[in-house]
Amino acid sequence: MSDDCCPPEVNVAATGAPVVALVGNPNAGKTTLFNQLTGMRAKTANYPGTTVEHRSGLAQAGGRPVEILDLPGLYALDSASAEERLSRDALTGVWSRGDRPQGAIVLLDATNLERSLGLVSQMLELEIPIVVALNMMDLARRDGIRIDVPRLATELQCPVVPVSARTGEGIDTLREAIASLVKRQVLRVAKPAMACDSCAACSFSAHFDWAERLTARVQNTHRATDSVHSDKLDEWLTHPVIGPLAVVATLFGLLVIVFWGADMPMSLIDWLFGRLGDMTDTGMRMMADSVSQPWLQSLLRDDLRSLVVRGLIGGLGGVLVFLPQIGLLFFALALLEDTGYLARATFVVDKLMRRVGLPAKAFVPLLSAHACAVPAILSARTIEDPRDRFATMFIAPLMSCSARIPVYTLVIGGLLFPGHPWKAAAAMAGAYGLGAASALLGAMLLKRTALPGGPQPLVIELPRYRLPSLRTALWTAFDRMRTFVVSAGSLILIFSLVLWALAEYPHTQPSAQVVALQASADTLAAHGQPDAAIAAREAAGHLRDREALEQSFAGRFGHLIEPAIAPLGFNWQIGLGLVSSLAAREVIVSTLIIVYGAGDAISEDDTSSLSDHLKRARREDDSPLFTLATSLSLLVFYVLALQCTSTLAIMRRETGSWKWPALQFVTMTGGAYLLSLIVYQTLRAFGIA
Amino acid sequence: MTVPITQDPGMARLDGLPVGTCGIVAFLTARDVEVLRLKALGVCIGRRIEVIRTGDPLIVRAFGTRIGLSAQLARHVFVDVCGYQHPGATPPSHRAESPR
Repeated sequence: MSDDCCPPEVNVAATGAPVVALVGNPNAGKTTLFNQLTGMRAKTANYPGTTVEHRSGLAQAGGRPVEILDLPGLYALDSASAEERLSRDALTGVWSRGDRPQGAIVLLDATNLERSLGLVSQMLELEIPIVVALNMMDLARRDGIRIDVPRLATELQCPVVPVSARTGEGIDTLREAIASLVKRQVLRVAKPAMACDSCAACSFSAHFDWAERLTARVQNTHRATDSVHSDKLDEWLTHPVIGPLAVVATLFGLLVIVFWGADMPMSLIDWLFGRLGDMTDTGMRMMADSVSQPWLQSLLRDDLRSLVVRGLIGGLGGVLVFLPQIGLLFFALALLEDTGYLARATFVVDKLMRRVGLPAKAFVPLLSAHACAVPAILSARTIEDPRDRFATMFIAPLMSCSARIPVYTLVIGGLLFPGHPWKAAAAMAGAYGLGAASALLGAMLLKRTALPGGPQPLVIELPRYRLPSLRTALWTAFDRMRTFVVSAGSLILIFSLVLWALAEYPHTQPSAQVVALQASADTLAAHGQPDAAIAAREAAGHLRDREALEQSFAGRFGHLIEPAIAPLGFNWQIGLGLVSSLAAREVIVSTLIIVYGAGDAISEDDTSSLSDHLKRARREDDSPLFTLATSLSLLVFYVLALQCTSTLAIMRRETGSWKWPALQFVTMTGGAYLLSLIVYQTLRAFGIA
Repeated sequence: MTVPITQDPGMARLDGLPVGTCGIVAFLTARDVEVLRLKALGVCIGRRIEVIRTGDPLIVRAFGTRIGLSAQLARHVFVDVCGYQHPGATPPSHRAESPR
C-alpha cells in the first residue's frame, strides 16, 4: 500500500466529527481509556440488527472533537465470535454504508506486549491508519519490564504512545497523536513482514510468531509476565474446594449489596414519587377550584388529575425504582471484573452450570435475578452464545425477586402460618427453592427443545489480578442505568399507563351507600363532631375506591377470568389482583387492601392487620376464601407466574422481538396455572380446603 | 470427524497432562467456533503451552496469559511434550488416544 493512501471514504459521525475506532484485547483497560478520552460522555447503541452493543463518545484532540468508537474487546479479528465479526465489519465499513473509520487507536497491554501485538498485526493488514496506545506502563515499570518505545514505533511504522489509562499518564500525548491521525498526517500503513515458521495449519500462527519476534526486539526480558502474586492467589481461588467457597461468599456478598443496598434508595424513590403525586394532586385540585369552566374543572379534578398522579407520576416512579438495583449490580460486577476475579468465578462454576445445560457466565445473571429480573436480564449480555444467552434470560424471572417478598410475606406470614416462625421460614425457603428448581428444570428443557445444543465450552482468559478502577465502575453503573431508562423506560411507562386506564375506567356513579356515608359525614361535621366526620369521610372514600376498582375494566376482567381461575381456588377479586399486579407483583397487596380492607385505614406494611381482614374474607357462598388450599395455590402462582410487565419490556428490548417475551409469559404463567391447579385440587381431594 | 491417532510417544492429549507439563501444540481435532477462540488465545499449532491446573475445567499458560478451558475442549488439543517445569511433576501417564 502506498504512502499517500487513505481509505476511499471516511466515516464522519452525525456530529460532523471524524470517527476513530478504539480496538484492544479484553482486559487491556479499554473502558478506562475510553472514559479518559471522552470524559464519560458517551452513548451506547446496538450494532444495526443485533443486540451487540458499541459505545461512542466525543473526545477533544488537537482542539477539535473526534468521535471515538469503542469496539468490543477482542483477541483477533478473524475469529468466529459475533463480536469479533461485528468489530471487523465496523472497521471495514460494512455496517456504516461503506464508510470506514478515519483511523484506529490500538490499545496494547504493556505488561503483556506479546499477546497484544497479535491484534496489531491484524489491524495493520486491514490497512487502516493506526496509533498504538501502550497502556499499563506504570504496572510494566513496576514489574521491571522495559520497552523500547521509539524502536517499537519504527518497527510498526506508526506512532506509539505510552499511557496509563488509570492514572491519566500520557493521555494528552495520545490526544495529539489522535489529532495527527485525523489530520491524515499518519498516513503510512505498515504491513507486518510475516515470515512464518508454523502457519501451515493455523492462521493465527503467523501473527503470533511475528509478535513474538517483535517483542524480543523491543522488550528487555522475554518472559511470561504473570506476577507471582496472581499465581499464588490463583492457587487458592481456582482450587476445587476453596474456589467454590470463595465464589459462594463473594456472590452472596454481591447479592446482599444489591438486595439491601438498594432497599433505602428504592424506598426513597417511592417516597419522593408519593410526595410528588400528593403535591400534584393538591395543586391540580386548587387549579380546578380556580377555573370557572365546569368542563375544565371536572377534567382537572378527575381524569387529568388521575392520569397525571396515578398514571404518569406513578408510572415514572415505577421505571426509576429499578435504578438502584441496576446501578448497584453493575457497579459491583464492574469492580469484580476489573480485579480479575469474575473470570475466576466463571472458571470455578463452569462444571456446575454445565450440568443444567448453561454456560458458567449464566451464573451471575441467575444469582442477580434473586434481587430483580430486569438487571439480571441486562447482565446476560456477557454470554457470547445467543442460545445460551436466550435460555438464561428466559429462566431468570423464575428466580424469586425482591418484588415477590411482600406477596410471600403476606401469604406465608399472614395467611398460611401466622405465629409459626419456623413453619413460615420453611415455606419461604420452599418458595425460593421452587423458583430456582423450576428455573433449572426450565433451562434443561429449553436446551433440549427450542434452543438445542450443549452450552458453549469454556474458554476464558484469566487476567492478572489488579486494583479495580472505581471511576470505571461508577461509569459502568451510570451507563447501565441510563441505557435502561432510555431503552426500556418508555415501554414500561406505556404498560403502566395501560394498567392505570384498566383500573380507572369506566367511571361509575357512587352507590347509595357511599352517598349516605358522605351525607352522614356532612351532618356530623355540621353538628360539631369533626373526628367522626373525618372517619365517615374516609370510610366513604375507601368504599368508593373499592366500588370504582370493582367496576373498572380490570374488575370486569377479573369477573371474566373467574371461571378459568376458579379451579385454582381464586375468586374474581383475586383475579382483579392478578391483573393489577401485572405492573409489579407487590401491587396485589395494595389491591387486596382496597378490595378487602375498605373502611379501615391499613397500610401495606401492616401485614397482620391486612391478613386479619383477608382471613375474614368470604366467598359468595359464605365459605372462607383464604383457606390453606387457596393460600398455597396463590403462593405457587406468584412463585412461577410472569407477573411483571417490566420483565416483558426488557426482554423485548434484549431479544429484539416480541416472540421471546410472549413465549416466556405463556410458559411461565401457564406453568404457574398448572401447578397451582394441581396443588389446590390435590389438597381439596384430601379434604384440606 | 477424523481423529488422527499418533504413535509418537512424546505426544499427548492436553486433558491428560499433569501440572507443570509444557509442550508444543501439535494439532487440534475440531473446527468449531470454540477451537477458533482457543487458537486466537494462543493455543495454536506450533505454540508452546504449559499446564497450570488439571481437572475440568483446566488452566494452561499460553502466550503470556493463563487460559481456563473446559476438558471437553482440551480433549481436542494434542501436544508434543517438551518438559516438566515442576520438580515433583510426573511424566504423563495418559498417552494420546482416540477421543472416541
